[in-house]
Amino acid sequence: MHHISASYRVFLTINYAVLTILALLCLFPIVNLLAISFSSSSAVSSGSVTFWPVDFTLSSYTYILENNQFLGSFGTSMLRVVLGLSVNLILTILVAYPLSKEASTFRSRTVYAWFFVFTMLFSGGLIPGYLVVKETGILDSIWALILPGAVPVFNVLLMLNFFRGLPRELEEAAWMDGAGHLRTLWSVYLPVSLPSIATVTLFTVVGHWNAWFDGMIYMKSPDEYPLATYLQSMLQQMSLQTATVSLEQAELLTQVSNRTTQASQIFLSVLPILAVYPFLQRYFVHGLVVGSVKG
Amino acid sequence: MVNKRKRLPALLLTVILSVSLAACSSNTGNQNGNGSTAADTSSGNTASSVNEAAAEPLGKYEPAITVRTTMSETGKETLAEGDTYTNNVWTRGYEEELGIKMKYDWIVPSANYNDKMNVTLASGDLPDILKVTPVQFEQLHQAGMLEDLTDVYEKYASDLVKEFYSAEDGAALKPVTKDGKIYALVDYPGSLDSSDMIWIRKDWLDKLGLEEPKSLQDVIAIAEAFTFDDPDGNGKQDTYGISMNKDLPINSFLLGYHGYLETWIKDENGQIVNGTIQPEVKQGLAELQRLYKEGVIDPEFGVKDFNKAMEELNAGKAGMWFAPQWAPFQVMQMVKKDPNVNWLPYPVQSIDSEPAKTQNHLVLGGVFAVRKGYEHPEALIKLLNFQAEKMFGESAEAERAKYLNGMTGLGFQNAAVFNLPANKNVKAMEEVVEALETEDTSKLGLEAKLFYEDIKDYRSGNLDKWHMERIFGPVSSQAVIKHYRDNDLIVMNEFIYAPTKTMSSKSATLEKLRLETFLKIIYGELPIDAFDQFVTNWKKLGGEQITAEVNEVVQANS
Repeated sequence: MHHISASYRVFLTINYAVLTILALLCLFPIVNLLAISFSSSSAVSSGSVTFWPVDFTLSSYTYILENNQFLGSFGTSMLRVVLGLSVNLILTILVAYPLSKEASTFRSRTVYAWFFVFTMLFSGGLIPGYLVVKETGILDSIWALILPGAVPVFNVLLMLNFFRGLPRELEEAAWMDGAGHLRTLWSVYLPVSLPSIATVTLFTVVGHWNAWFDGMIYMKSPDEYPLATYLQSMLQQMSLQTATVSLEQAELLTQVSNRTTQASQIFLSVLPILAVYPFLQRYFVHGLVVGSVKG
Repeated sequence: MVNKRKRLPALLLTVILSVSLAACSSNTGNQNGNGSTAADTSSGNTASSVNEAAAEPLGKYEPAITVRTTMSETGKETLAEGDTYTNNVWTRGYEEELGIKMKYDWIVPSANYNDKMNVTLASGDLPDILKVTPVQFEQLHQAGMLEDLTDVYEKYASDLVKEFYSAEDGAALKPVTKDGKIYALVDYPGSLDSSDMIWIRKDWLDKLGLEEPKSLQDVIAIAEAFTFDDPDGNGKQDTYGISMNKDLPINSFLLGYHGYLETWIKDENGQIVNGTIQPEVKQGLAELQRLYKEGVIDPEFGVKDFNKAMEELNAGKAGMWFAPQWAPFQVMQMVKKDPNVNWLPYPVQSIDSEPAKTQNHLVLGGVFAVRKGYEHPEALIKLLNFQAEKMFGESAEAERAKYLNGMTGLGFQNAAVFNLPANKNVKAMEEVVEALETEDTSKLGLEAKLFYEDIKDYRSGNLDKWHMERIFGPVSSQAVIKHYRDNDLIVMNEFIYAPTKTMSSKSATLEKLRLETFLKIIYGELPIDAFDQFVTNWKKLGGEQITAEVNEVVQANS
């Protein structure tokens, strides 16, 4: 292995070159966004900003600090992630553990498993979903964003497969020492399942952070919007193409469509996920692989 | 949301279902359901005792009533300091002067409004005043869920409001009138502002020593000169004549060939046909194909959206674009940076001796209906009376600024319902131009006076107001519109009603087919004769069916 052949060297070079280009392709839009957020709006509207701010200014960020709605939505999203993560994790683990048992231990296991998988394949649809949420009385509250998706079945399957991959000796040893199911789950399974828990956590956090549609449907006022819904409503502009835009609308549009503030808000909203990623990533790959392949 | 009609039974079912659910549940929220029982609790005992004063257009309810509706958020900039959407100068005015308390079931950004309204309609928990789209109006009307407003409109509408709705032969209320009965009121800005025009950089014309266009041939020659003769004088051939984007705003060009894209017109037999598939459009496309090949049209327009195309325009890359009267708002930054830039609007030009006409559309900004069974349908009329009075009536002089958040502010967006006088802009322009000539401001209407002052401001050096000169000044987009109106150069879209059944299901497909085919033709990827194949496909894919339905609807309503 100490001798690196010429062809391997060529391979390495090409490999790194391709990967670098791919990485840059992913990075450029974010850098562009950042540059726009620090530029003056006239520079942006004439399209002269690429990767470096033109007419450097912090005005878009001061605007956000004074704009309660962005901060409020940020808080709502944070709360949603914390609550949603707790609910999802607890339920995922509590569902996955029994389902990971053999049919000889847990007789109607298959029925329950299909019960959950069924919801992955078929859903009630938008309107019935809305009616259920409405009649449950959680419309217009944070729970409308959390309870409908409280059991993420895909994550359950992931955990379930991971639990199954664990050596049976672990469980048997725990039984021998007199542990019940709860004790086994808590003291034996969970500590060795950190990789897959991290994976599920990442999925859940990103999912909750990015979800916008439910916020739009279930919330009564923009003050209660989570961040993703707020951003969506801000960015989705009226199309100016048609002649159907009145003079007043056109004027309003020039007042509200400010690309520098939009860019800064998008950037700030990406930041938390960017910050969480590196810490969970080391489990991430591991968790997905270990869950599927024994070894 | 593709096939709206087909979903109607399902929608009805959910509506009925949820009403019965609401009736069964002992829900303490007494606003539930659109049945008669629940509504009584919200507006109390005033139902039968409409007092004397309340019978006036602007009379006050004693005691106050509560009206439930919804609100679209249009930007905090429209609110006065300290006001909110639920408590602002309008809601306080309603309560103090009309005795109407507004209760907004929900308030969402305008981008999300229609989706939210769809869910609300399906859930069956209807607000008292329904602010909907024409499509939603049609669904509600067919489900029999709307109150007939004919009588209350006659009795309560103020003269001002009636005057607004009588404009253009009462066109505004035609789409919402069924069998002679009015089922809703509308926000109708008039059709004139949808006029097409050509915007050209006059400073480039002057630089190259070119005349203003008198024909479409001139327009083409100008576009070519802007491409090849270096109008920005930097020694490089880096400009192009016509700015374009992937949504193909080519109407103003095709009108030169008397082609009326996406417009329902009468043919010589009195039948209504779609302008898109007429041979005139083919001629125009052939010319566009040639111009694209020459490099006169932005070579990359097929991948640019509106905003991207605007960036290049603002960077001085193109000298001509097609847009309606609001175009100056999009280029005002450019003028601020370089006062020499001079965008001027020109009427559409013809390729032959027959003058070119603009194609105009009836555009409803909103439809305001009342749910069936609501005991104060007249409240809707009163709210409209109130808004008209505060903005244009006798009290406007004193109170307009307060209600609009500044004299020319956009605060009216926060009124529960609003309607502006149709085609008010061109009238204002006429007054402004006269006053600029005579220096006599006494005849100016309230809005016109504000525009006049803005133009004066611009002329004394304030570049922030440049757009007012180009919209309301002597050489402006509204002046072009006046030219169309006075010379009878307008082709009205014959179809002013809610989308027909097949339209709802097929028009997206047809639109996509059109865009793709036209784009390929202009790019030269398809020969111009592909247009004939497109016409055949268009008819086959639902166009024929839609045409039949359109004729049926127009006949039934004429």
